[in-house]
Amino acid sequence: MPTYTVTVANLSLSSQQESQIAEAITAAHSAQTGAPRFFAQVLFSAANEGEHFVGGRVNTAPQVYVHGLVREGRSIEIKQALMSQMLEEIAQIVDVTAEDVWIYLQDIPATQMIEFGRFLPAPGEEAEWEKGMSPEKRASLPK
Amino acid sequence: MGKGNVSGKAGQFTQITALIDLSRFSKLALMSQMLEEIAHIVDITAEDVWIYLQYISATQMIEFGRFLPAPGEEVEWEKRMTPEKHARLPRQPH
Repeated sequence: MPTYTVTVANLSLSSQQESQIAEAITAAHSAQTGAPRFFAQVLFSAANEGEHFVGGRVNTAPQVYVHGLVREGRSIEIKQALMSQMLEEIAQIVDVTAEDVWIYLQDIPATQMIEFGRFLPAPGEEAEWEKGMSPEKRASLPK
Repeated sequence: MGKGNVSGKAGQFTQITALIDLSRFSKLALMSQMLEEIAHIVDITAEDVWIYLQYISATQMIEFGRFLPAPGEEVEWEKRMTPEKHARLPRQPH
């Protein structure tokens, strides 16, 4: 039940790379947290040239920034394993060094997150929550 | 300054969202300084500026491919950057 926003600067991702990154993030999140794959949302955007600054100056090096918003309640070990897996796979897909990748992961209480029109359950209660979806919506989701 | 909606009405405003690691300075002073300078640069009143400051643990931040150090351990951390990346980083303000 996460949302990941991937923002790139000084590089452009092909549709294939976006698909590969979305799959890598979805798989990493599911593997490390045990949450169902279909809850993972991944959005892409690109900073306009000259509108990405590091240290107060326009950055001209390629960079990938991933901002993940996830439910709170997971251990630091799980969260860092998730971040490390994303880092490695994203650097490989985009063909940049790890030094060109930034990742922030933020926790939000499930009580402050609505997905598919309903407040999220606490971690571990996803199966019960999923039963409350309409059959139409459930059928439209990837497994 | 961007176009946006406040209370359902279109308007123009400047919004800053900042994600920083754990507190090592006065958040009040940081926000006040940003507020004053941004309003001046954009030539709007302080009432046209919104700022949200959120905390995020250093253990949940990767920059330049590595987890961030705890506050106070930046110098050691910086030594492990590649010379190429290190050389590209700005040191002084304009």
